[in-house]
Amino acid sequence: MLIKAVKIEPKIAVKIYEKHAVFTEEIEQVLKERKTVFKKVGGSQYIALGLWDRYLTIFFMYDSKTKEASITTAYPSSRKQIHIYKRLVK
Amino acid sequence: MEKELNIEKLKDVKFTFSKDAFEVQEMQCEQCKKNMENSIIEFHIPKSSISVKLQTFHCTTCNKEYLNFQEAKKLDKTLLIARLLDVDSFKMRKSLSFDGGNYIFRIPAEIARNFGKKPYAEVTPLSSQDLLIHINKS
Repeated sequence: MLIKAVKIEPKIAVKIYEKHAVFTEEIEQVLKERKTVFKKVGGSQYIALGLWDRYLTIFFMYDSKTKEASITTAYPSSRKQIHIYKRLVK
Repeated sequence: MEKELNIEKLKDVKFTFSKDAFEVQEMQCEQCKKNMENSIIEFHIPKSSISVKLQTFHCTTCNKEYLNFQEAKKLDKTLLIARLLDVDSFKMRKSLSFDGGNYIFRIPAEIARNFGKKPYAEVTPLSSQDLLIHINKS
């Protein structure tokens, strides 16, 4: 699937930084990483697990009509999520 | 209790990104399916006296606002500065060791976990009592 635009609400960017100390720069790098794993959560919600500097878990909504993705949250991956990621990219 | 997400059982998907996906100059509102308007806002960082001018995409119908990642990075920097200036933010108090000539500051392992191999520190003196330490990877 093609993503033509990745966007974020300013208040979401602030929330992600204040709650999890994750910058949008890190989100961008993880999403661009070749080894990042994408899974469909349900409806238009997706999850991305990836590594750039540190392991991140990113949730986003994808609109298949507009081909735009909007970030809903991102946080440093838990040990369990890192374990799953490592197993999936093996 | 919230049910834990079983990631392994979720369906795999492949995404590819357009070359300018993170720097787009046009967006559509996902609710109203209308083109969003470009506007410049003065965004106030919560719990601080700092604000930043951001170019946003604004839906005139539902009032939703979005940033592309170029602008979001500008917001990143502002959030960082706001945290630096916040006297109530999380701080560590660490004593300095003295080796006879230099003071040594130890960074706890929990923080250094993501430093990678052979990190080095770039130290910017801000004042006689303030230092900005940036950790880089070799």
